[in-house]
Amino acid sequence: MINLIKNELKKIFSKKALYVVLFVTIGLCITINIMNKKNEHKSSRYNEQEAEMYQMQLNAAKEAGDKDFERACQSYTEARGMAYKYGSDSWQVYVIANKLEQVINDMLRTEGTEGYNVYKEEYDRIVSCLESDNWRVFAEEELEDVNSQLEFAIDEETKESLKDQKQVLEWRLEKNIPYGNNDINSYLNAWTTAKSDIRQMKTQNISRYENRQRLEEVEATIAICEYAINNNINENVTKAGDSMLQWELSSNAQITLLGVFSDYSFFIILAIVIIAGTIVSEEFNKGTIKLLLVRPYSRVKILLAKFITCLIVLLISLISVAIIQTIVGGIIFGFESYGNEIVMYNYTNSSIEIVSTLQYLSIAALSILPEYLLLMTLAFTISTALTNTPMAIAVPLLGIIGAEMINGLVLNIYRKAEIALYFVTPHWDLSMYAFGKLPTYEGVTLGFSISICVIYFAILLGISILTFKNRDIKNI
Amino acid sequence: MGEQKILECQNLRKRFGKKEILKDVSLEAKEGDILGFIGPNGAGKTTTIKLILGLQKITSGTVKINGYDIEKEFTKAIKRVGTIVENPDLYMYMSGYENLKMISNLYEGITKERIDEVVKLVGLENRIKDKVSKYSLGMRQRLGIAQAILHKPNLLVLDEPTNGLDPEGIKQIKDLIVKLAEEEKMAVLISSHNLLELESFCTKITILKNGEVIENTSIDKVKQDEDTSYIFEVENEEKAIQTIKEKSKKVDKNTIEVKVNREDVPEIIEKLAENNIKIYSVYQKESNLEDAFLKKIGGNVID
Repeated sequence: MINLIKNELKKIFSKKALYVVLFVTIGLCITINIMNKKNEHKSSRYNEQEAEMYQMQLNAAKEAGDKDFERACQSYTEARGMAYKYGSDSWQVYVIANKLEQVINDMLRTEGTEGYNVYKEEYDRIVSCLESDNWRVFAEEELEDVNSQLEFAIDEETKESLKDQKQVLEWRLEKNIPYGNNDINSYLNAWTTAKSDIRQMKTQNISRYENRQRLEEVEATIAICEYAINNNINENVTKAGDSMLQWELSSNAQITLLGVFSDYSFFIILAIVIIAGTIVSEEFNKGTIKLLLVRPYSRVKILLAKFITCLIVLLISLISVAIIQTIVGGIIFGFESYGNEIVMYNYTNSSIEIVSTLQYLSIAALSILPEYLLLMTLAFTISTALTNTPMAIAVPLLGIIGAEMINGLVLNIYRKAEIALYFVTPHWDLSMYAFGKLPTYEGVTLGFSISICVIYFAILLGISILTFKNRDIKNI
Repeated sequence: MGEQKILECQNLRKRFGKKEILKDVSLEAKEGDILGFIGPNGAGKTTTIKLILGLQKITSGTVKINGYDIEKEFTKAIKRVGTIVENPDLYMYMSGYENLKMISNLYEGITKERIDEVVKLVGLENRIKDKVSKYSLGMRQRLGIAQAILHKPNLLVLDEPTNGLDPEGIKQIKDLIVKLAEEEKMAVLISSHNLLELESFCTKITILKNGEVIENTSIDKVKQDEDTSYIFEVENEEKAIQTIKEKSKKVDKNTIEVKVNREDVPEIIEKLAENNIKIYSVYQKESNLEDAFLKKIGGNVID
């Protein structure tokens, strides 16, 4: 049997097509990483084109001799010039956008030199603080402002919201977190958003399953943000629950690696489906099956050897895709992020859980494995039963597209028609159970999902074995 | 008959749907036998071979190889069988050597030396490292024979093994088969459409027509069935036929064919001489398998 498997692997690895897929995957991998790297620099409020535009207006104002307009353009150009100087990710930009521009507006709106001078003084003070890198002044001012608003706030909603703002500012001062465009600020923002979401949600019907799911996710976001803020983690990964949070964080080699099985899923599926879809039918089409079946091995053994070979190829492709991404990501982003801890939210006991990159990847691989395995077996079964290679490859690939539609349909009807839950596609992605989350479909359990997958798998493999065992080898 | 029966097929029947492809085919091959398997297209030769090799399910009847039933004890039965079915279909994207190496993995005890030996035996040593896709049909046929004899089988089943070979290749293969049958005590079942080839080296012959065995005998007997006849070259063929009467027929100008036994030839010569018919030569007409075959199978219908 081992010799049969060895031979099958030898046949696969002496095909050129495999290496074409490998090169395309590497090419794709490099493209995805470069794109992620580009995305890292999020669009800033201030950009070069804008600065140029103001410069042009300023020149125009000077020519026209309009003193007021010239003064206005002068101030805006200065502010933008500063923002540009400090860089789009600096804390200064936040102050310029939220405070300095306001002062400029006020300055321009006042009539008379006296009023103007008051604002001009304020303007100069802010500029000097920006220059001396003193962000705490602004945080303290803001805190004062929030405190005074709190005194006058009447309704609960506003009070709660102000309390959250206060908390954020206290954190800033306490943990020494300057303003800016970085991960820790994203956590602070996400925390504020999640807090207001949760207040809103509590007014809704909490017993509805969808609301419970959403609530759980928001709670996860809050817990993760609080962990990140309290530990002042600036370069880190949170993948749990909230996809919004994930998008706000900067990209690095580790984050790209963690998404490897979903980002490259189409390529992995394509590779294994091509192999599983040709491994039997090609031997029939080329006639080589005759010289394989006259060896002293039973047909069942020959077929199982081929299936096990497909399993090995699946394993190899998962590992090699992870390795390719590790190397390419490391070259493009730098290797240092691989050691970062990954903060996950454990839904069962509502606590934070720290996992390593390898642990996370293993969980991700195991969650997606049923889908890969079933699509592979489908290709294998069609390849054996119909000995038609194009069908064996096309049907599982169409299956991926169909699965999304079917899952959407099942989500709509499963409460009324429970039978829909006996379809396999809602169950083959086990990541919905990861870390004890509420599953997509109310009432389903991990055991149930696994059983459904096993039953479908057994049926497919059974059909394959039966047809192969009883097939007459016709003239080829 | 102390020889070991290697292949024994009894009352083989094969039905595809309603159509009966094989009706009651029985075959037998002992050590050292070279069994020629002849039949026109569509007679069921390849189907019979596939039933023997377990590639198709037998509707009724049994196939035993070395005493093992092909359906019940497949792996034991097939262990000592080497074969080419239809075409020598090997993996085109691999080299000849890689193909042989893979096959050797599936049997116990095939050494590197054995592979080299077989490669030499079929005369492929110069091209064995090339991809099979670069081989000519004749070279692939040789490689097919190499893979069939690699594990030293005692039954060799060859379906049209001389297809695509040049005359020298055919002779080499024939010599090889005869040698294997004699020295290694192999039984060989060989089907071919080239009847003259089989005639020269088969020991037994089975003729198949419309899925039925119509002749199952030794090669000499097939030839004997054809009455011996003699060719007379004479001056006046019309007169000669009149003289000899019913047993003779005209073949050509000045040539007649007479169906007689050897001992009656002098009498005919005397008769002709008496009638003043000049005789230039008399010789026995060569009988061959092809004539015998055509006579037997005349009117095969492919349905």
